[in-house]
Amino acid sequence: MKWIRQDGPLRPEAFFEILYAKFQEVAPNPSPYFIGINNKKIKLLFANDLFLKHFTPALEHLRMDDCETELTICLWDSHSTGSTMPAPPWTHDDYLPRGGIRGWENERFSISFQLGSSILSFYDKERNIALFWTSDLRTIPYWERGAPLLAILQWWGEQQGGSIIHAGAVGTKEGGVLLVGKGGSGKSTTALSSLNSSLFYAADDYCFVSKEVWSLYTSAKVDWKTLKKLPHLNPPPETNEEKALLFLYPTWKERLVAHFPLRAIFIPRIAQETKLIPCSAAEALIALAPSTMFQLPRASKRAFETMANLTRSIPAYYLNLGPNIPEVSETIAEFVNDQCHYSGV
Amino acid sequence: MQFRINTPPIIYEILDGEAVILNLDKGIYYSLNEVGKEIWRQIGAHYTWQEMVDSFHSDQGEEFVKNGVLAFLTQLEEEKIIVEDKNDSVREKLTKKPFNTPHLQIYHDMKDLLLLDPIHEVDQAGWPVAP
Repeated sequence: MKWIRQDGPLRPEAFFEILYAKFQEVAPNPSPYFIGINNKKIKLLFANDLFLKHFTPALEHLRMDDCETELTICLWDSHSTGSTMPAPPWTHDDYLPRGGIRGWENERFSISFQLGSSILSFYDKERNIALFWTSDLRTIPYWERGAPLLAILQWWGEQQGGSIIHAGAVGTKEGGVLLVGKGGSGKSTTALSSLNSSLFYAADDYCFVSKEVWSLYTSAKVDWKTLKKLPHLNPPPETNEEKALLFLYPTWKERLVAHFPLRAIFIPRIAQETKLIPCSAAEALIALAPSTMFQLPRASKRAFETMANLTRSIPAYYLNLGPNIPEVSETIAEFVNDQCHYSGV
Repeated sequence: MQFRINTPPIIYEILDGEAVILNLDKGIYYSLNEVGKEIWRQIGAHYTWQEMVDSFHSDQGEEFVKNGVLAFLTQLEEEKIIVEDKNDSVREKLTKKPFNTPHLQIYHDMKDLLLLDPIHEVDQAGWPVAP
C-alpha cells in the first residue's frame, strides 16, 4: 500500500482546502439542517438526504428553521456519493489514542480520525467550518449515530468557553443536576427513570456545559438488562449490539428539556437505600473528568479546567441508589425544588 | 535534583487542597494523600529533593523521611508524572511539617478507553476501514 505524499510536508491548511473542495464537488446541492446549542446556531450540510435521515435522529429536538449560523459542518461519505477521497497525507504510525494524528493539529485546525468507526473530523477555527467524512454511512457504528459529531462539537464548544462532558442531566427548567460517573454506576437508569417522574430529561451520556447545561442528544444507550427495569420506555427487541440505542424524540417530547441552570453534581452509586451524601469537589472531579477526557476525542486541557471550575462552583453529592427506582427520581426532584426555592426561583 | 510536572500529557487541578491528576497518554488518573499533596506542591515550586526531605519531621527519624520522599519521587518518575528539570527560581524556606508515607492512588479502570484500535484494512486511497 502506497501513501501518496506531496514533496515536502502538506500543511493542515492545504489539506483542509483539498477536502473542502471535495465536499463541494460531491455535494453541489447539499441538504441543510439547522440546530441550536448554547444559544448558538449550527448549520449541518449533508451531501444528500440519505445521510441526513440516517444521522440526525439524535439531534432532532435541537432542530431550528433556516437561520444565520455560527458554525457550518459539511458531512459526506464516499459510498453514497460515489466518490473517492484524497489519500491521507500521514502514515499508519501517525495515529494516536483519542483519535489524534501526530503533527496535524495547530492553533487554527483540529483534526481527529476515529479508527474504530473510520470517521474523519476536521475543524477550521478561523472560519468556523468543519468537515465530517466517513467511507460508508452504513458502517457508522450505533454509538456514533447516538452521539454524532462529538469531536467537532467539543472543539467548537471549547471555543465558546464551555465543554462537552460525559454526564447525564435531569431537572426542571428552573434547575437540575448532572449525573456523573463511569459506566455501570447507575447514571443511565437514573436519567431515564426521570422520564416517568416530575423531572425533565436533558441527557443520558453527553451534554454541553457553559453557564448552564445544554442537551445535545435525545438518544440513550442502555444495556439490555437495564432496559428491562425501565418498562415505560417500551424496549425494542434485543439485537446483537452491546446496548440498545433509543431515540426519545418525538415520543417523549413533553419530558425533554433543552437547558437549565446547574444546581449540583450527583455521583450515582448502587446502595441499600436512596439518599444524598455530600462529597468533595475533588471526588466530583474524579467522577466526572477521567471518563470525559479519555472518551471524548481530542478534549483538551481547557475542557478539564471547565470541569474543575464547575466542581468548585456547585455542591456535589453521592446519590446512593436504593432498589426503588421511582424513589430516586423523587429524591432528585425534592433536591432540585429545594435548591430552586432557596435560590428564589 | 529538581523536577517539573510532565505537561502536556499530565494535567492536574488542585481543589480545596486535593490534587486530581490525569495522564492523557496512558488513560490513568491519580490522587494523593496529605503528604503527597505537599510534595506535589513543592515539585511545582521547584524544590530539590533534599529541600523536600528537610521540610518534614518524623518520630521515626530522618532516614525514614528521606526514604519515603525518594520512593515517592521515584514512583512519580516511573509513572512519567514528573521529569527531571533544573530551575534556578527563588524558593522560600519551607516550614517543617509532620511526615507520614506519601501515597499515590492509581486508577487504571479507564485505560482501556485509550487503547488504539488496530488497523486491519485500508481502502484504495489508504484510509483505515472500520473493523
